[in-house]
Amino acid sequence: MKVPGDNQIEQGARQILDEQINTLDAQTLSRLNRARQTALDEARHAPRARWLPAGLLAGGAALAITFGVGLNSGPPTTPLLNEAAPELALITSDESLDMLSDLEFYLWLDEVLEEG
Amino acid sequence: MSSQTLVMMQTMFTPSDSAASAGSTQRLDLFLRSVERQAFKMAHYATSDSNEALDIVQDAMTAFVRRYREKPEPQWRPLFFRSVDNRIKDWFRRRKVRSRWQLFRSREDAPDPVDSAPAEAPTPDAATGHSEAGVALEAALRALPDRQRQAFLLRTWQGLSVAETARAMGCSDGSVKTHLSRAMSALRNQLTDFDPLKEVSS
Repeated sequence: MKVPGDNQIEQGARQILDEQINTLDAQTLSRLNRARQTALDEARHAPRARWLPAGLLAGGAALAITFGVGLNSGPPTTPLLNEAAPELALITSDESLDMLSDLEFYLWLDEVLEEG
Repeated sequence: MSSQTLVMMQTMFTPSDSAASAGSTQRLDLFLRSVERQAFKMAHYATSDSNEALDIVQDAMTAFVRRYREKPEPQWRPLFFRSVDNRIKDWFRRRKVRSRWQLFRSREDAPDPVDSAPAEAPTPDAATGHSEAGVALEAALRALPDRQRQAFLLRTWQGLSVAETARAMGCSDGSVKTHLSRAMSALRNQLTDFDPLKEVSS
């Protein structure tokens, strides 16, 4: 009875195991092929993560440019913005906010002064 | 979405990008081809069941593609075997739970012989190419504890370094060395007169 050395076991194991995987039956090989194709489909269809930050950045920049140009092109022209303009002016003014409690009075006063 | 955004997105995904993606898929294909049989063999040693082993390889491949395909290619091999190792661990956990459940049920019902039958009897001759040394190695490897066998297969067969084996097995370098040392000791004791090279030459 002879105890093999580590090197002999390692070399022999490598050789035998390599032989074994090279003689797998056709059904197993076919199923391994299908498993690989399924995994590769995942790679083909899933978006590449590295594009996500660049895409978001580009989209954000495009939206910022679009809105920036739109806002700087002139005064608001929609009826809603026109109607809200006096209130917005009041709210954003530096004057005391106490006047907001009598907002209707000040709007009336503004109209009267304009007419007069 | 504005037209500017659309134009920018179209510019980002040019034909060269799709070519790069195809190249990447091709590299993945080549890599998976190079490791799928080894992974199947490892899973088969753990489960002794071809269907279970193929399921493990399938899951490991999908998990690898999802998580690690963007990693540098030199890291693919240990990362792929890590996926395989994780699936094998999961398989053992599930089997443990299943056997507990079966034990619980067996106290209530009479045991079903189909449930207790082995999923698939190992067929050493078919798996080892009929060589005597192959049969002996097969039996010795199956007799090893799972972690020792995994360390031996990854380090000796797959040629991973100790650090890569540790990464693949999710343990420390020291644990790998311990598993490997015990595996070699057990194999030395079991594989007396083991000489596959002599069989080839005779």
